[in-house]
Amino acid sequence: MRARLALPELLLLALSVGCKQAQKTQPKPPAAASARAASELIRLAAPRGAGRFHASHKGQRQEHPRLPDTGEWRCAEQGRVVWCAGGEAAAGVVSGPPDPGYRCGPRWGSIGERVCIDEHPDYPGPSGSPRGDGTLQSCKFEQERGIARECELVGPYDGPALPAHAVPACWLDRDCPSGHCERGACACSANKDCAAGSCAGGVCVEVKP
Amino acid sequence: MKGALLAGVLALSGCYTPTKKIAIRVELPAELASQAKDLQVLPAIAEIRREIAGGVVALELRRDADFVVLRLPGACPRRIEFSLLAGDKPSHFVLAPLFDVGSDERVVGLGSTFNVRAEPRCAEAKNSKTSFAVTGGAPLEHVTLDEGGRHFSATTREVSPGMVAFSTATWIGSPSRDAGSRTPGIVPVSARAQRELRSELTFRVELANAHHFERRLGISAVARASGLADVGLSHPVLLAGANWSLLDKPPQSGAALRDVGQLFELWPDLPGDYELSDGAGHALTVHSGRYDQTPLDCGRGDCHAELSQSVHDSPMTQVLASDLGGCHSLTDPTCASACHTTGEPGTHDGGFTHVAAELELPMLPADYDDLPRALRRLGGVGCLACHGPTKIPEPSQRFRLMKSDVCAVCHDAPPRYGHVQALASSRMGHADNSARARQEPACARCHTAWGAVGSSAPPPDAEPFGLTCATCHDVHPHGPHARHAPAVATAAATPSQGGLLRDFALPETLPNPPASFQGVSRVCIACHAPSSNNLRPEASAAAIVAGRGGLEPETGAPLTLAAPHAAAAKGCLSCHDSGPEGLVLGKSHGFRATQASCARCHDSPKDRDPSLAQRAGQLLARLDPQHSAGDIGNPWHASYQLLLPTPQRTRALRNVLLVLEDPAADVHGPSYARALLDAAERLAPGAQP
Repeated sequence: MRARLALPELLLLALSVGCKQAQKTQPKPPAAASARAASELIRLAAPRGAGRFHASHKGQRQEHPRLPDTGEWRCAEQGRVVWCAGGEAAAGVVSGPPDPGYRCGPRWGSIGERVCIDEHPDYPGPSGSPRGDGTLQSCKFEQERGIARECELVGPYDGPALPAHAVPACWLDRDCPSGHCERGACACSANKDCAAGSCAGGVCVEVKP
Repeated sequence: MKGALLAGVLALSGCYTPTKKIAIRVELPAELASQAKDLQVLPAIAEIRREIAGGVVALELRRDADFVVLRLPGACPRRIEFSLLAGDKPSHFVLAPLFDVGSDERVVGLGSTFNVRAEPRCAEAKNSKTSFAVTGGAPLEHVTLDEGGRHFSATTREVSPGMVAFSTATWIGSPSRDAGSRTPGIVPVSARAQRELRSELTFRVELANAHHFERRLGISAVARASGLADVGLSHPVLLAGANWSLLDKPPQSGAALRDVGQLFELWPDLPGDYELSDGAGHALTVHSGRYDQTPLDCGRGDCHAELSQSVHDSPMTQVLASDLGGCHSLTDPTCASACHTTGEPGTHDGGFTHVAAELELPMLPADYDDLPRALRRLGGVGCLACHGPTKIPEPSQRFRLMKSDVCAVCHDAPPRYGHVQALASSRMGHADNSARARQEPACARCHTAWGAVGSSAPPPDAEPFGLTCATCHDVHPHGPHARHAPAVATAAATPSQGGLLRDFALPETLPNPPASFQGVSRVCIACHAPSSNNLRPEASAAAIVAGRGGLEPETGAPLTLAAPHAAAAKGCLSCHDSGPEGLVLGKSHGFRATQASCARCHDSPKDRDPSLAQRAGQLLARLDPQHSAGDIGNPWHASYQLLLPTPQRTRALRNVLLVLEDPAADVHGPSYARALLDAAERLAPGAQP
């Protein structure tokens, strides 16, 4: 039996065959490119640099949480957002790159301090891995000796999400022209409440070009 | 028909269902790192590609495989369910070895019985044979191996006097400084001393398929200690003296004092203060804490901002970031990570290796930037590595930071690192043996480390500790002298100058010094040249080398001469660069000059010429017969009082003393030494007109 194909179907068939051929005949990259690809894969899969969660009397404890960089920070967490203030360089330490999970900016009204926001914090996952989705978790920082996070199951968070691109700017309410700091970003009712950015969704957000 | 054909083509082509990928990173046990290529991914079809870097395998897998099982001989298999992985983010797994034998390094204490168990981690371990063997290092006692080779037990030795050179002081060889009769207090433990008390075990696993692998375990009876009362958590603290008792400790602490032969041992098991007292009324508070829990805000506000800035570019701060110690395995016993980071391996002190274990990081990444934040804060020799993890010492105890014991924690590891050993072998290493040298400020200026750098003196009952590393090296120059060189010749510290050397001011007795005195030898000159044109010229070697410092007796004008040895590029260190044999690094810190030093420039080095010193002695007797015998046991500058009737004869005598003060004047500058004596000769009684 001979099938008669219409032009669109033939085109699809040609495309699909071409697609497979392209995979088979793809030229091997030169050695240098291979080496680069290798390091990219290794780097891509690099750990996030945070410790596992371990069972504690309150729930799950993470001894070495991710922080914005090697500096000195104090942090808080609420509504699935971590925000930190400080950032003074650690003495006698080669700093290295900042944590890509945090967005940082100067703390409004302070000299030298910074504020950083992480909208995707680590949560306990399978076997204590820090890659859980955290839907039911609430965590807080313990900073009496060093800095650690304690998470416990509390149920789903049903409060408002922090608007995307909120400007990291505050630690205390008094840092904000509006007098209210919302998870590291200044609350606002109008643009005049924002020393930087614009007011959207009740907080100051970055202005995208 | 057409539709079926089209569906089949589309399904086979994959154009509309591109392969979804997932990336995972698998870290292998250190002992299996070289077998990364043998890692099996099952089903094999799930693997798209892999890349290997050291003991890390990065895998790109087909998500539609739903799961994979990773298998590697010697490791427990691991099943990875893709549905449990968070989104498309790369995931990180550690493949565990078949047996858990605990950490590779452990500090167990002196005279302590310890156990090492090989606990099977998975069913695959049960068909393997295991054994432990002592394969090196300090002998162990009461060694037993049972439970089919899965339980090892032994006892470390107690220490006896003379058994171990615990610190710099004991190398000097004074019998009064052995471990049993030291000044009561904390006993410093150098890297060398720890090594002498470290045993090496080999854990061997033989697999059913005849493969085998081995893992080395280090058992140390002691932790390295700087002698400060500020120690890492779970570092055993050794105490010299008698009848120590523990008066107070943190709540819930189970710490107790243990008599370990000639010493006492205290294990701080909780952060906090431990109050101790001995039978003679000495009180001691040991502060203990975790390194990773100590804020590094030393530079905050008005505290130590200048120090923090100063230390930032120090090679000690940078040592891990610049090289990662040249090795990337935390489990490699030859790895220098213990000295390129903060903390003591084998303890639970929140130091680098402890935190790396907490982060389940069996392998260090190749790039410092890939270290987790917590490890970067502990990477390098930071503030806490020398100052300890809790608090700076009480003012009366800060002199301890000046001792070479602080540096010996790393720089006393011969033959590779012989700096401290070489220094201890030199006369500088015990320049403060005389009580007078320690007590009189004029003497302490050059005979003590604290006097040389202008820091506060130790208590009178502190044992002497010689001129130390910190006398010449300053890891973080600071203070008023960092900006303003002193107007007059003192040995107070000024900014550092290459190689962490202090920038001591040159004495006014050497105006327009030769260029070679401005380099690394600058640090020597302040104490090896007369400090002023007074009548008791001290330590004249640099003056003789430089061909200046003497005076025309008749007029008081400077007496100078060409100085060929001053042209040697490194000044003093051009010749004084030798020390104990067998040291790879740091030998030059013995500061010995040998015949080989001369042979670098002189084809046929001359023999020493004792006639110069003899002539100087004879001149002294003629100029000042009353005092020519000197004071046996003291150098001339420490005993001689010039009370001659005329300034001319006094200047003549001063020239003679310049020669007598330098026992190597015949080598340093024989022409200048002769010129000094010739000038003195003209004023000596009985001189020929």
